[in-house]
Amino acid sequence: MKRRGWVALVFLAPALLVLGALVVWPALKTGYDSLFDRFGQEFVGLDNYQEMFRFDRMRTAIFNSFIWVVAFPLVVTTVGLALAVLSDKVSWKRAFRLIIFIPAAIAILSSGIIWRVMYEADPGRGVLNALANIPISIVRPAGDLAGAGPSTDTLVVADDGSLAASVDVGSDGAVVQLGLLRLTEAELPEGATEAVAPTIGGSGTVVGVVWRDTRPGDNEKGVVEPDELGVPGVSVVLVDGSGNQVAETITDSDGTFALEGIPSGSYQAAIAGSEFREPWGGIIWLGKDLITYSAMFAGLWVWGGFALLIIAAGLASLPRDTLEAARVDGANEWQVFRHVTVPQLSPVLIVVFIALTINALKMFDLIVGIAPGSVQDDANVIALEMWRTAFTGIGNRGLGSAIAVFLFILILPILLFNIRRFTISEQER
Amino acid sequence: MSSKRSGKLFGLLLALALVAAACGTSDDTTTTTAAAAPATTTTAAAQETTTTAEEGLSGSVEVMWIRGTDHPEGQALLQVLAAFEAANPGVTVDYQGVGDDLPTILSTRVAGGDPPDVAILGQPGLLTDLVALDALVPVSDEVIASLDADFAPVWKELATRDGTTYGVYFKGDNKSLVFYDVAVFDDLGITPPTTWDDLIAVSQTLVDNGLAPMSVAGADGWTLSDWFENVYVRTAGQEAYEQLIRHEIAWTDASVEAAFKSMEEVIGNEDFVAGGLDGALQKGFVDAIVATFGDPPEAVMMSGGAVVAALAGEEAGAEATNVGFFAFPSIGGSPAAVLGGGDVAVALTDSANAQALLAFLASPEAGEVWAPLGGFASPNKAVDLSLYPDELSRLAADGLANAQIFVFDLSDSVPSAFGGTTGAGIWGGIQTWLENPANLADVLVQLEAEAEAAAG
Repeated sequence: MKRRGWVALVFLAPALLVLGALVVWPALKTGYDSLFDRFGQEFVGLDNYQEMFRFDRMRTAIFNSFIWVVAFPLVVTTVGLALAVLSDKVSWKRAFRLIIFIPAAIAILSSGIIWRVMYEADPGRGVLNALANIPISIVRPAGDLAGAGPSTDTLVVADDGSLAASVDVGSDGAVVQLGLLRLTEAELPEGATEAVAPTIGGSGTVVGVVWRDTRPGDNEKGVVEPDELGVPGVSVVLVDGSGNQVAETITDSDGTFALEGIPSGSYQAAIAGSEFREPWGGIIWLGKDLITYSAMFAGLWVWGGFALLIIAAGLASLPRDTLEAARVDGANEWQVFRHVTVPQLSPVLIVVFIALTINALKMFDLIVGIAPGSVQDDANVIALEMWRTAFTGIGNRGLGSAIAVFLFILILPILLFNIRRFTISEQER
Repeated sequence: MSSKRSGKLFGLLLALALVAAACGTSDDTTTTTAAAAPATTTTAAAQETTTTAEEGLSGSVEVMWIRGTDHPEGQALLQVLAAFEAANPGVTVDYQGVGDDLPTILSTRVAGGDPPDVAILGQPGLLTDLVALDALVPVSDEVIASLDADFAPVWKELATRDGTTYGVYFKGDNKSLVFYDVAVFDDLGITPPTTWDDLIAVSQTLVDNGLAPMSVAGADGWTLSDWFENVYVRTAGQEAYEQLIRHEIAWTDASVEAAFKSMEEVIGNEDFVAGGLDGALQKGFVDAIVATFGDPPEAVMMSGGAVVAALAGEEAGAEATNVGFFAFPSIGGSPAAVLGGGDVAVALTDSANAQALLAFLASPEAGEVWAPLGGFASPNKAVDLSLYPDELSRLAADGLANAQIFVFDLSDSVPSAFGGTTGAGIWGGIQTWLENPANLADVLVQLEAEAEAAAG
């Protein structure tokens, strides 16, 4: 026995050496370093453990890590289980599972960067917002005069976004000028020509002009000047004091319009708010409110395939007769799933769940890849905070080591649970 | 069974292949001797025996900086180092371009007792840290004589701690510049503004014409801190600026609040910033340059150092003639001020070669090798301005060497835990402010707390 023990030790020695040098010793040294100051020179005892919580950053990191640990394994396992069970019945399940698994082969940092591009807020650049924009641009399309505003105070912007000016129609009729700003020349509707200041038309007429009230060089607002372009094709309505529409017309290529048969009185000449509606700006996936969930979805994309594959393997090894028996007894598919499949799959589900929990706590490269600098604080997790503290500008080795030890303490219960399970299954063998 | 044997053979070959691949030296030339660089040294540097060429110098000197040899700045530095080798035939320079993690790599090598001979640092805060670790060797008297003769006093002071000078600033960056799209200004008949009020008026004109005036790279905190520093030195003055660096003024002081309020008039204005404040926070530095000079253009102006012009050509494909620039406008009649950054060369080993290299870098010859290559401005007053390849470099260099008021980048000067960390300190604080400028008071309290923590 003794000799066999020695032989075993000789064969294990290289592995033990490597483990000792690369795992055990650094772990011990990190614990040791956590008791010193930023350069490792002055002994500070447990001060670093207090210092850790001084700023909101660490509190945000703990909160976010908590969300990751609670939500991520649950979501990914559930999705993996659902996909495994649903795809079990179809003939193309191998192709389907392969496609779902492909993202797992990509380096996680690369996945983060891929998703950063996909999540771009501008619907012209980000894939997700571009897809969301398709129905939105049909239901609420951008107006021809998107983003334009009035050039003088005589024009008032109402709550519904419409632009209106008061018109008093007297015995000679009335003139109304609707000057617009914040439009480039290129944004004007086609066929725009130089604007013409309208002249009063006589009793019962309202004449006016809608024009782009700006030009290079000297520019007086509210006055139609040479070189300023009219805005063609704009629908102008005349509304009386009680809100009833009295007349409507469309502007010509030089921006002028004319209405006939208007009785004297006070009116409002208005351009509808829908003309000024801006194109949809997009959901800010990578803003401070959504960043953690956006990152989690990217994580689902990466790890969903892994969960699917392991659960599918477990599913394939289930004894078919229990399922058949349940169906024969009259259970529907959902009941079969809930009461027969899932309980039998529970060892596999636990394996997947634990692996994902450990990944959630270690989460680092995905967040570095996906979060722009301005939201790294909001997306912060403990592993990221540790790296930032120890290695980037902060450069505080003692504090970074303390955070690493803190993370280890948090993982410890899961580790012990795993070891215990492994030991039990060994004993059962 | 032959399939079993061939299977084992295959496995063995695969293992050997993997080991060979792992052991093979990478093609990445991050370490190289300077002599390998194309030697287009000016004849003046090669033949003139300057005071830096000592008889009998031999051996090697290891130089470490962030730029790799595939980077234009790395290649330019290699030419400067080649000129040094030409002036000192017995010495070889071993150059290491290690990337942005230089502070970590350098402190690891210092801790391990094997530092490079010379390192080039971008932050004075890092110099302070290294002095605290006793890792730096003071410069020789010869170097000090050069600094006194050819540099404005501020450049020597930046490298001095407790009366001892540790480094040479041979490369500077003028960050008090605003770049703009020449075609747009010409179309609208706009002349570049010289005062803050003019800038606001120009921005309003651009808005009226349907354009977004200013591109702000809010995702990268340091661009926001550059904006703040340019505004602060003009609203509060040079004295207050330097007190703020030393934390003799608190971040909750009225002068800081006033500077933020001024800044809000331009970059805190939803209409003036391309993409709005939210859009700005998602834009990185290169994205912001492309937004201004790319196709389709989203904005008209952008503030930054001379590198903006270089990247406008490289990344956005802009024609050099279309990239205009003007000096950062004065605020409330403030005198012309230049905010700058710089790279300082320091010696970590007590070797004659290291000191000789520092002396060479302090001489005008070193600047004159790099000047024609572009993307460079030397703070050395003795460097001939006509050697610079374009108006922008000349303006930048002139500002650095001869500015009436010159201040160094504040976020580089304070401890890097406060001034140089993504998402924290100054960078994170101003980003938080940009999210909602109305929250100024809270942001200032947070900045003050972090400044105190970093100082303590």
